[in-house]
Amino acid sequence: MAERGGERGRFGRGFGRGDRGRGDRGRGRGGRRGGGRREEEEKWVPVTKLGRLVKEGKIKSLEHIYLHSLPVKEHQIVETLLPQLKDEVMKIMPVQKQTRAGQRTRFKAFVVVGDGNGHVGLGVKCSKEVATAIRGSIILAKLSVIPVRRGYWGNKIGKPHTVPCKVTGKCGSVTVRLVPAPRGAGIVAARVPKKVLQFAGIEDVFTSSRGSTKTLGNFVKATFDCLLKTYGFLTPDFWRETRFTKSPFQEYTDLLAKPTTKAIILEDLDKE
Amino acid sequence: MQNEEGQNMDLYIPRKCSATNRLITSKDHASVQINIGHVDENGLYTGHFTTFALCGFVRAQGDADSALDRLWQKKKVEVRQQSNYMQTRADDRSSSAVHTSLPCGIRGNVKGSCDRAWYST
Repeated sequence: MAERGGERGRFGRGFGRGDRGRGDRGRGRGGRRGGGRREEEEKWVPVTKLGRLVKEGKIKSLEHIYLHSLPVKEHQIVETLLPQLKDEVMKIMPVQKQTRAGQRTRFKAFVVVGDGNGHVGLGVKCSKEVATAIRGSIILAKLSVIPVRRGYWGNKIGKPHTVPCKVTGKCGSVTVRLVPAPRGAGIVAARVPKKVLQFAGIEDVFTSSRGSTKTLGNFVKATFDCLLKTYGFLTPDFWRETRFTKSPFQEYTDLLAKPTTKAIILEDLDKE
Repeated sequence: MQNEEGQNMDLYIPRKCSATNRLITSKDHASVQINIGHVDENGLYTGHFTTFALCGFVRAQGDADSALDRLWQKKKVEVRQQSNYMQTRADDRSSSAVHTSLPCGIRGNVKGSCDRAWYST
């Protein structure tokens, strides 16, 4: 048994040396669009209550969903409410698993979506083929779209251009700190978080990062976590007491109670 | 956030937890909004309700139950005062008895997890 295990190990190692070259080649640069073929809008049949409300047009903006912290489970919801969403592949990373017959390589795709006006999403998906991974991660990115709060550095003239306050986000060992910057400073950040911040619609910001930023996965997730916190920071503008509104499920409960498909009438079976 | 012209520049104003005053973010799926329905002394729902929101943090800590209890104790007094005020106004028109106590029940609108609050105070 021990000998066989040793054989297997050597067999695997041999394959490993051969495979490493393939691994390096697989690393792709960002900016590649996944799949030229784009299936034209197949009729979307919503499965969730929220999906039904969005399809009917009762929910006009994503902010209504954000206000009630409703989980978004269908990516078509986001597509309907934010039609001008752009996506970008940050990295295709090959990851390998050791099996008895060598390595099993899968590709992990990191995709950032955003509309450049306060909404970003990040999706990570691993799959056996690159195109499938990219497609899957775009869907996950759309599901994870968050609102980004923007503010001013000094005088509140014009539109907000920077983060409202210093925020920091952490993922793994990587911490990313965003600091408000005056107009014209631009996004002072590394290539990776710069992309994310551009998609978010932040124009000026100073950043500081710590930890192993080489790990792109953690770096990009830390930036995303940081942006998520912008709407979680209690500034004096939010001191006023909340006036609660009805949740969309409560408001449209009669509409949701209606059946979606026609009732199926079962034939009476003859009693024997 | 308002700019110098007074225009509202925020995408939306997030809710705040009634118990801790924290902001409820868009991805706080453990947060909950509970409606407590007001009931007259016969136990019939009047159609008015009070809303409370609890953030995920409070619920995870295990303090949601006591927080809701405490919030309602405070709110109960206000609701009773308001109901008496409405009742005295109605009394001017009709000649019904004045209601003093105000028991209330909850019509929970709990989304998310499966905890249901069935109190009666």
